[in-house]
Amino acid sequence: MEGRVVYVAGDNVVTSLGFTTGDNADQIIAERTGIKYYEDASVYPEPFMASRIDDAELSSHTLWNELSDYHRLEKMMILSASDAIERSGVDASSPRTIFIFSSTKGNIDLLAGSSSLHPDAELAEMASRVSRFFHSGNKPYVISNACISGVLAVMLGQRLLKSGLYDHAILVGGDMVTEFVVSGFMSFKSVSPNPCKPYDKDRDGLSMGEGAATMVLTADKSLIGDARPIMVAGGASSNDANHISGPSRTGYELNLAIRSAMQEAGLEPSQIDLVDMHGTATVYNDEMESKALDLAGLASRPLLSLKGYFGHTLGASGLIESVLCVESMRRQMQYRTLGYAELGVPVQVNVTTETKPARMNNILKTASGFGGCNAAVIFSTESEGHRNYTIGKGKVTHECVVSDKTIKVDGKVVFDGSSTEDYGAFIRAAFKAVSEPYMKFSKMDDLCKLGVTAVEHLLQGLNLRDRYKEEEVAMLLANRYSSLETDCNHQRIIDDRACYQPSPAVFVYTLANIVMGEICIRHKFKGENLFLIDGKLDKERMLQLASLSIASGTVKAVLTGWVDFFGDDYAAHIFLVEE
Amino acid sequence: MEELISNLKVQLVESLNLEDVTPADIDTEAPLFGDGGLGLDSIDALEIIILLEKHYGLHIADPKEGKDIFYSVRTLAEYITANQK
Repeated sequence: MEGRVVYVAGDNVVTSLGFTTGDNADQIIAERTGIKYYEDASVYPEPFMASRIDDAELSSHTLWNELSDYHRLEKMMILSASDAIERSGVDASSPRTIFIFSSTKGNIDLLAGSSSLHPDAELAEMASRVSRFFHSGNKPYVISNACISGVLAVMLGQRLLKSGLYDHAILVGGDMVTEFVVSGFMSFKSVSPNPCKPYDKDRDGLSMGEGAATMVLTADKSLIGDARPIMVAGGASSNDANHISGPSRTGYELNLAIRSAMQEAGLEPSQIDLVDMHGTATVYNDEMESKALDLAGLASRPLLSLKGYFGHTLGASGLIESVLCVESMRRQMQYRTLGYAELGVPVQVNVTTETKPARMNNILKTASGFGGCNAAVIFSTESEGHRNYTIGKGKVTHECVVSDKTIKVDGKVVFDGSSTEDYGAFIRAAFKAVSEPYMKFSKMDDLCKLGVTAVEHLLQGLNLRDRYKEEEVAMLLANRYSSLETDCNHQRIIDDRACYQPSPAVFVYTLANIVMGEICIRHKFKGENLFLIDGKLDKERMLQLASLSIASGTVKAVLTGWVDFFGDDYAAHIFLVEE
Repeated sequence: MEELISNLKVQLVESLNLEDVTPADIDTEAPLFGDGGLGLDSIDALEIIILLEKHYGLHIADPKEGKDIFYSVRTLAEYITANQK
């Protein structure tokens, strides 16, 4: 719909630093960190540094006693959302209000020591439990797209409101410091023994953190009391098409997302008052970000990482940090990048070293994550964004269905694997039938093999990469079980205390969006990325989202649909949507 | 040394999931990483660190240390021989 403007109506942050946006900002302005030293064998056999929320403090909250039926992460999310909703004045139960969740692992603590899958370990179940608490009748959107999930929630919320599908969006993000994630990041040797030092010459890894955040967006200006309201002016995402865990060597793809978001906002680099990047303090992430900033013409703009205050909060980080950027716009304050002392990235960037009053009218927030994904959004008091998101652009030109050892493209059987012994033999034979040997295939988990094989068959003879530029092809997939098959494998490994050997080659596949990363690497697709969790394939919703991608003007073809694997069940149904 | 080399090849195929490669296919002198050799990547390097701990009791704390050690099966075998107690 034309002329719709998306405003930030209310927000909240729950971290070790405090349980409101204001409390968190006060602690940041006082330059205090929530990252501490822990000896807790229930999380990791050796001492570690992390930012963790004290449950005793959390339980002093007035709502706490009403939440005994909820799991820990759900409580964090409900406490966060109830505060933000109250501040916003938005009716959470209205049919015009949609919940959007962002989390990488959800209630992953329910997996520990359990032989059967707890139903609430499914992300869609967690999301509906939380949205039902607020009497929402709409099926929520659930984004599980590694560490860019929170930024994607802002982008998706803006598009859904601009399109006119809804009037208000409640974005809720959350992730926890659990044995599951700590053991995995430790196996990647990416956790620092000290509080993290973003962009610093001595940086040696990230600090784990946990938290929840909520941002309420509205297209109803009457709810906004502020004379200078903060708007979501732009948003975009991209894929490196390079490696499933290592970031791009050039930063080109993050730069693509930044440029697209700035184009939507109609802002020049000189108008960006602050860039708040992912800044995890791993050697390669920070290096990549500095290159991307340079390519986007932003190397001289003030650069912030908030990770030194509450660590890397995974799928919540994009939302927590977005809310704190919005708060810095309200206060017209620049935050210091805690942990940073001396420049240690290859490009001369302008990392913030002081907490001080500063003009904050346009802030660019970015994130990058496993699976090669990147995202960027812009918050502004000056620009309302210049794209019209219209539903209905693009149509399905081809589709591929994989089920019962059979692959069909456009209704015709293209591979019959009924004689193969099991799923493993079927999917290997199906892939080999249409592809030359590909070293990476045998290393993939079952979910990735399914998605990669379905797309391989779907794209046979279509020469997609001859017809579209690499950044014009987007990926937008959904499933029910996220990466739970591989999650259970990782959990089995860490439950075995006698032979404790977490495997990075297993852990890297404990994110559902890795399947899109593998497809992007295989076909050099660098366009938008979004992975959703849903109870079952919702074709109408996926095609709506594909049309919103095309409406952005940067995307001309979208691979969308379903790819799911758990236990003995698997199914893929992928559509090619073209402009 | 030759026995160690052939054991290492079996362990590499197993722990790195090299489905289409047999131990006999691995050239003892060829680079394991990058183009031209086995084409291993950073995740494989971390798995090799685990392999060295599990089978040989050797600890490499910093993956960067591994760069020269992990060049080929030969350099890996030489490192194990020199460092195993």
